[in-house]
Amino acid sequence: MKSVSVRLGLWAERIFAAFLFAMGGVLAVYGWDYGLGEMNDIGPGAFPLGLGLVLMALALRCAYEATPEDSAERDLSALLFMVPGIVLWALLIDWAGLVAATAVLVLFCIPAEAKLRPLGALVLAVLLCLAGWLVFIEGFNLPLTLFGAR
Amino acid sequence: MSVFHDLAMGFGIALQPTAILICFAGVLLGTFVGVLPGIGALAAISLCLPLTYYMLPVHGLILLAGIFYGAQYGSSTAAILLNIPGTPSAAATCLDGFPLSKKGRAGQALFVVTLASFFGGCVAIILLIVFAPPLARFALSFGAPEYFAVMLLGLIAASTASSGSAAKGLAMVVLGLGLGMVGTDVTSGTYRFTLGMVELTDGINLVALAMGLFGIAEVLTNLASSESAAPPARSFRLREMLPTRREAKDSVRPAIRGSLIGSAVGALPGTGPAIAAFLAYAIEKRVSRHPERFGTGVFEGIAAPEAANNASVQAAFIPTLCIGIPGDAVMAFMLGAMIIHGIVPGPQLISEQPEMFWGLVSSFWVGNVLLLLITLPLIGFWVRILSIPRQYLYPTILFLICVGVYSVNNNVFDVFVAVAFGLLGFVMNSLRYPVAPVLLGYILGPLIEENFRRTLFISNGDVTAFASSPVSIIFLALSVLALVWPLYSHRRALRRARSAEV
Repeated sequence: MKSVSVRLGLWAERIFAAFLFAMGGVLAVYGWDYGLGEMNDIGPGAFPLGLGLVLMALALRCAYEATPEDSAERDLSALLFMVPGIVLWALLIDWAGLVAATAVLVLFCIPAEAKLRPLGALVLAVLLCLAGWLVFIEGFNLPLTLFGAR
Repeated sequence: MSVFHDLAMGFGIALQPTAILICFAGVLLGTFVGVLPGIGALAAISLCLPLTYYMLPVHGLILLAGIFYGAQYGSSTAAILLNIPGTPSAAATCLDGFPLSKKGRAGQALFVVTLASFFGGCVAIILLIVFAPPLARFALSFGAPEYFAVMLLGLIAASTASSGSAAKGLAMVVLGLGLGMVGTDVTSGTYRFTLGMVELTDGINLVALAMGLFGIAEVLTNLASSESAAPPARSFRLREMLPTRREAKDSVRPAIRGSLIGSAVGALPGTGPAIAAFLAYAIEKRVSRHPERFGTGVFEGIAAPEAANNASVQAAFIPTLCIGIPGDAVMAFMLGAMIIHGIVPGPQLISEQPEMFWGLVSSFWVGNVLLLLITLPLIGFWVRILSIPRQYLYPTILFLICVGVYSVNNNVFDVFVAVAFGLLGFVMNSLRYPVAPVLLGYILGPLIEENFRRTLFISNGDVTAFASSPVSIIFLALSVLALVWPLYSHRRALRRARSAEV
């Protein structure tokens, strides 16, 4: 699998600072909406409002402090495949069971990790299912099923 | 009741076969994750939290604590053999550990750091036993303003004490506080930031948040960075690890100093084993007659930081257990674990649940002895762990995270939450935003808000109530200092850099 490299430079710093600013805005706006109360009976929105304003100010400071030297090269192939693998594990676990969900998770790790070959992945998936069955289903009695029929 | 009576009761719990077995599992897993670079103790602790639901609370805490201090023992192995710190706290050990390895003294270095870690742990446990009960009695006088001030100091110190930008650290702690607001407001019953989702009415799941930020994010970050896999390291036999008399003598005083520094630093809010280790290293270099030899491979340079980092993790339990206020992210997670188990950490813990407190403290002795037994004789095994292929390790970790998060509430929503925080943690790691303050803020958020509102309620809205006692004044002053000092030093460093350019 060819790597998908991205240089996270000043633009990434600024975008993340903007994300933090937006999060601060959400805290402040919703906080205002929940009600501020009185000084001797603080409402549920006062603390979030205060936090939101502080977060917005800190986000601006982070954006101001960002320098081009902060940039870092990142290979995103792990992110592009492993994250969908976990999401699919979650979607499959209830109705398809541990075996199918784990097989899909390990399958999605193949393009994310160059050294993981299909045969190795198959062996790993079998071992994980076996360990999962022994430890979690038999050992801890977790309400998981091997093949989905609960 | 005397301390000896309490300890006897504690050992009665810690020496039960089940407790020993659980402690052994904890320190073994801790050493494992400590040896492996890239997987932190917090990821392993959050992975194991769901398992503790099936145990007695004291056994659950023994397991989680064992992972934490076990990781400190294990982290020096990769630091000495490969110049890669297994955890951030072992970074100081790299400075002289790897040069010692290059000199052919790796076996002796591993021997010394194991004994230094053991010694540091023992010193801190003794201090915990001596100081915890009086501190808890003192903390009984704390009211809402004092709790608010202590928590404020912990949050500010944790975000500004770490390396890097203070603004980034503070932003992360505030983000964590905001995440702690999600759920039902305990005072008014208002649903806050739940986005209409029933799953969020009890707040964001602690395990999902921690596994996302520290488990998924670490796997993604390790795979995304260009660092290659660790090269193979050679194994040792116990006989060839024994240091010479001179090397042993050189290590004794640094280990004593490191233990005391680590114990003092560990008990402070906002610190952690990494700060303790670097401080011990810096002080050791300063008191040495030959500071120029530091960095070239001297035993003083590994004994002091290793004793300090292990002492600090044991001492970190002092504020967490006695006041109910964690000093760092791992302790915050331990606090969350206690609350999940129905234990209320704080001044009453020692008097109301003495079996819990003394059982846990006694298990530290058991754990440290077990670590001594499994670290040195099994050094060959730990060295081999370093060569586990990451292509099998990371999918296994992801599998364990998925099952662990799912098992907490048996719903997939928490897995999606973990994925979201995994992505957030990946971006934060990539842009050098510290992740730990988010967890600390998330756990302390509801507590600090509660004490903030209670202070104003009791004082009928008088804001001067926050500085109504000497304790709260001292902690508020320290908070201001912790906030201002990094900004001042950052500005001074910038000014120096500019004048150097001119």
